[in-house]
Amino acid sequence: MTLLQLDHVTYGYVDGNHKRTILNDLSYSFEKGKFYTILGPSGSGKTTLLSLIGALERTQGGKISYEGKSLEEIGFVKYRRNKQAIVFQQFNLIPYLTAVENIINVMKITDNPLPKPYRTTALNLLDQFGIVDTKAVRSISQLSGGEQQRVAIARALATNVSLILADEPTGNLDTATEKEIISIFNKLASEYNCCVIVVTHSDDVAAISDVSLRLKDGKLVENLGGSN
Amino acid sequence: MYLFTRAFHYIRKQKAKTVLLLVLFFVIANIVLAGLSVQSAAATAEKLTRQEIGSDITYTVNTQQVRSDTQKGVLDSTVVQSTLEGVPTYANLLKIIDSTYITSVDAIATYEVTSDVLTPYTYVATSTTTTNTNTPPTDIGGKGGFIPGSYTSAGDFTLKTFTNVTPTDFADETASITSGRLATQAEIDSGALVVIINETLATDNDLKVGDTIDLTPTATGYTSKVMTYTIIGIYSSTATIDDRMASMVGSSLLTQNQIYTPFLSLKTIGYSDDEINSTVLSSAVIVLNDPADLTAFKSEVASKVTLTYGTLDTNDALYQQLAGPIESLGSVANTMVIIVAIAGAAILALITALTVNQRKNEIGILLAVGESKIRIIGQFIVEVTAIAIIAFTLSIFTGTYVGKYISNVTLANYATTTTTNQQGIPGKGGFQGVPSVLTSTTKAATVDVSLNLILIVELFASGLLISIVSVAIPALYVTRFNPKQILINNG
Repeated sequence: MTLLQLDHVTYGYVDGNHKRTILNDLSYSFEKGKFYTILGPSGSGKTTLLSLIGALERTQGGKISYEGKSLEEIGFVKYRRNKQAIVFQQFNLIPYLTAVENIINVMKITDNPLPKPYRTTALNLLDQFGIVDTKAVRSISQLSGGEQQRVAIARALATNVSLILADEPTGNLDTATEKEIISIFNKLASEYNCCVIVVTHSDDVAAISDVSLRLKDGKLVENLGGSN
Repeated sequence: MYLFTRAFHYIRKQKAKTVLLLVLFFVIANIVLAGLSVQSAAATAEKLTRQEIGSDITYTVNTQQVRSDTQKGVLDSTVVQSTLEGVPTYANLLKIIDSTYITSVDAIATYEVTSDVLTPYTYVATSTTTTNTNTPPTDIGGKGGFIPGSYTSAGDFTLKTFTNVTPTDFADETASITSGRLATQAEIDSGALVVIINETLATDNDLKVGDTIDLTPTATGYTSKVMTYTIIGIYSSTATIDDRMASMVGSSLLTQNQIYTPFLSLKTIGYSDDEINSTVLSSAVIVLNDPADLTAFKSEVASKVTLTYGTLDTNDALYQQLAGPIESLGSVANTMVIIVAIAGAAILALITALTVNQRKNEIGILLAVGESKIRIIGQFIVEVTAIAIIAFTLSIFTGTYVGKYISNVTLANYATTTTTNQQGIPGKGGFQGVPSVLTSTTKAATVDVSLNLILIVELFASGLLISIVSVAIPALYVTRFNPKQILINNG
């Protein structure tokens, strides 16, 4: 079932006197319950594509639709608030809030119906990702990189969205933690029926994804070497 | 509305910034509160000064205008006084006092009387002063010529009229009852032949309250006949005059020989309504409900009576002299509040702008998770306002001291103004022929800098305004933020 549809998406920028096209008439359909990875060399436009899907930016041509509705129709802020969640390489947690407060924060921002009390829900969610209560009430700076990334993933799940985006989520983590995090993403797709799209440089991560995509000449092509 | 929680956590975690803002707001709050309280106190002091001076309006003949026009030949020196436009005749007074602004009125006319049975007090030169504040009796019939300064005494005593239950001299505390009482409203309205005499006259003639005395009015156009008056009160007077002046005036002008009686007693002694209406008063003292109504009342009068040869004295010059420094203080305080508020908002805006720049990443995160820009700005406002509230609350305990200091320093040279009036009390007749040397000391109301609920509300409103303005400018910067630029660049 198609969750996200990209139709003839184009994006580029001017570099000095040259106009550089990053995404060129890109079309692709993403489905629920699948774990996608997007590979490609640096500067190929992976992060740009992710930011367009995450509505952090607007396309310069073409259309992105979520469940059949364009992002313009849904509204960019509403889409970011209720339809998707992004996990960043740098975790991007609010530093002056504790782990659990970071979760509650997004639960308060979203319009999606969520089980109350929020604090209990947030603590249970963190617990599922190995952040026990004693760590959940700690300041973000007191958590390790892996723990912060788990908090960031828990935050992405807290709003009960179906689309999880991740930009190099394991880039700052050691190999053991990387495996652990990737297995979580895999689980989000298979058990939580989410559509998970992870931008990565890692062939190991791509290897365990349902669909491995490569960004080539501004278009998405499926990697025949993927697990699919 | 998790923005409040976020704001609270931010304030708690960012201690250095919080303390810096708190100190800054505290300084601003103290100056703003000082300014507001001085402003308020100055406004109150201005009002009290006006009350101190009084809301009395004295309606008299404009002698200066009469003299000027007489000298120019515009007026004949034999002109009948009551025919001059705007002079304080009883009829003109009745027109003027038909107003909602007025609380009381006293029609003062003076005329001389003689007596076959009473011995008037006569002046004996001593080293001490004897008393008198009187202006010569006017020609109450208004039938004689009006030549200021040409008065010749025609009687031994002066009857001074009143229409108020507390005649002006008694209200001013120039005179006070030592025995008996003042006239009742019924006696005033009916023109009862009752009198209040000076204690010296009473002693010299062995008179007491309840006795009757026979007096013969000598007003122009009046057929003299003996009338019997009942003494209802005996008074003492505090008015002073020096020896030189006392020796120059006739006995009827001495306070000891001054007798108070209701104005409408004129009717009882035989004056017709027309004669009463054309009676020229030596003065009429009009008291307003509220001194603030002075201007409105004067406008109202102007529409009823053209005061060519009459004047309404409201002690404006004295008010300006006394209230001027207070007005200046209020103006300085007002400027101070505006400058501090603008400067404070500018400094805070700068701090907030720098902070916003440091918080780009946080803003990007919030935008990425769907928080609206308005709520992000709201969070910044809450953070600044919360600190402002704490600082402004603390300033309540210190701001008034600053205000008191400022007002004391500013008013140091102006606290008391003494006015010496070499030509008599304004509006008390103003007769040029017999200048009475009186000294009056009127004190401007003190500027009492203190707190009240309105000031506190104004203070917090100012704090809120400064907070919002200081955040509003950096907030415009936030609205330009693109989450991708922030987060991806950070990555």
